[in-house]
Amino acid sequence: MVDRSNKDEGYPSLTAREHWGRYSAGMLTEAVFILGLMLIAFVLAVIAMAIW
Amino acid sequence: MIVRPRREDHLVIGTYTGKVIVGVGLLMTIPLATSIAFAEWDTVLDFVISIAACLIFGFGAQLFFKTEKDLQWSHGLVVASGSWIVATILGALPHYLSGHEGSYLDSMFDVMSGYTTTGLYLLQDLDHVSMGLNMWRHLLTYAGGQGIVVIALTFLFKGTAGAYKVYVGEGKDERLLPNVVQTARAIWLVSLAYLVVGTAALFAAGWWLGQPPVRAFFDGLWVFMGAWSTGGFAPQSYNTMWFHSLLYEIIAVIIFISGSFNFAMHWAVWTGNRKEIVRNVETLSFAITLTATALIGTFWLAKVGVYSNSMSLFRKVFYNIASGHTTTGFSTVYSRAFVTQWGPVGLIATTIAMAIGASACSTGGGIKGIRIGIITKAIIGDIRKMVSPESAVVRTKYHHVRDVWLDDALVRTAMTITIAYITMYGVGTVVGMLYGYDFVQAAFEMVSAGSNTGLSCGVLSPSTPELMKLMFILAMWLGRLEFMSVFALFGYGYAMLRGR
Repeated sequence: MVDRSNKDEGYPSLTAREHWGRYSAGMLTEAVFILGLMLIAFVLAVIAMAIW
Repeated sequence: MIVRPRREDHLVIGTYTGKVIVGVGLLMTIPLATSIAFAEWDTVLDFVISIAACLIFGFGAQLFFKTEKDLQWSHGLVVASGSWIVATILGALPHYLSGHEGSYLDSMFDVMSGYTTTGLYLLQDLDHVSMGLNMWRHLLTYAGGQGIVVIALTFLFKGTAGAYKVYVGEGKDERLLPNVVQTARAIWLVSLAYLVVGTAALFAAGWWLGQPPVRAFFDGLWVFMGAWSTGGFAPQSYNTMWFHSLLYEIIAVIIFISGSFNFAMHWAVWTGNRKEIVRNVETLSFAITLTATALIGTFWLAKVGVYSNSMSLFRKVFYNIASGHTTTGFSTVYSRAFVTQWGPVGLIATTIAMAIGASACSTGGGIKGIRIGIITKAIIGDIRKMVSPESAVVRTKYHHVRDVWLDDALVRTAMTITIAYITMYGVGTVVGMLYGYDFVQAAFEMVSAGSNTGLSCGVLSPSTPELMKLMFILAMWLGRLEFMSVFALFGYGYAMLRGR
């Protein structure tokens, strides 16, 4: 059972090829944010080992 | 006066519960196909029996309760919580028939743990489980992270107004797009895009580490499902420690932290608003509390000298505390090592991280970053009021996709749910202590179950008393559905008995 009502309401297709550049950039932004958090944690570990 | 539910109410609830259970039966065709592909004929039979049971129940309920009426709010909440119970009872059949579970209760525990993306398990001899059952375990947790009702909304329900009420009942109350079915599809789009990229990355890493390609693919797929759903199931009993790989751990961390983000935040970032990730109250709250708990864990474990160098310390502390904070439950230390090596401070840091949990409208559990953010903002607002002149009007706002002004109703709702979580954590801890566990271990295990995390310090095992297993099942269910739907189900039952 596939709901077609969204097409009647004029929403653009979510999977249209034109969106994929923005989707990829979004995914990359999230990965960079997480790697930033990991970097902070690594710096904390270096400082902690230096202190003790 | 409590109003007794009418016949029409039973019909609507029965019909929609039937639809969700048909969805569960159809989901089982994927592990069935996996078992056929690997010629696991005993497992094939287990799934044929289980699918038949789901379809008979699902279609039977739709025929028996046949109605054209749409859902009301109370129906949506009851369907969401009730269908999880029926889905757990029927979804446990393949587990039980596999012979890897000690009892039907253990099977139900594992299935509830999967649906709720908790990751605790009682299944025995995990390293020799069939490919089909492993596929079912991980599919359960992936589907649970999406929300069983989101699946049903996407594939089985017509675009009814009532569908939104079941969707909210399952704890996902954000509309990414104006139409609820479109919202469900946007959630799927984000998840499937991550599924493709994440599985490919883990497959490549596994292959590079020396796994045969087929095994690397399935391990990659299952670890992805366990990570993205913040479920924490893995195909090996050593969990992700089995891989002993920094690369594998980094990929897993990116996937499980992404999985813990609010789908509305994902959608904003994916549709061009990239600054949202550093402005959103939930990601900010997560970054602060993750860094704070990692700081406690790192400095404590450096002090007690468990790890010999910075890299080991970073890998163990960040991975396990981030896993706890996102309510994933992947671990790279042995369960008992949390007690014997991490000690009380390490356990408490992880427990706090698990209790706070992930973002709202994500695959994760716990109190949620948005509530911590709202309560913190409210406290700061009150302090600002106190230090401002009496005539000054002090208003506080927070940012979640858009700027939202804080009002009493928002703060009250956030406080209510937070208190409900803390009460649940507290009651479960006391029960654990009554069974003889010390406070820190009892709290760790209870918070892990109630926040749908799945890290264990060794309290839970197949020999755990049945009452504790039942309590954990209830905690996982309450925590995942954020109380209201479950309270609505209890209220419905009470109204049937005592209403007029």
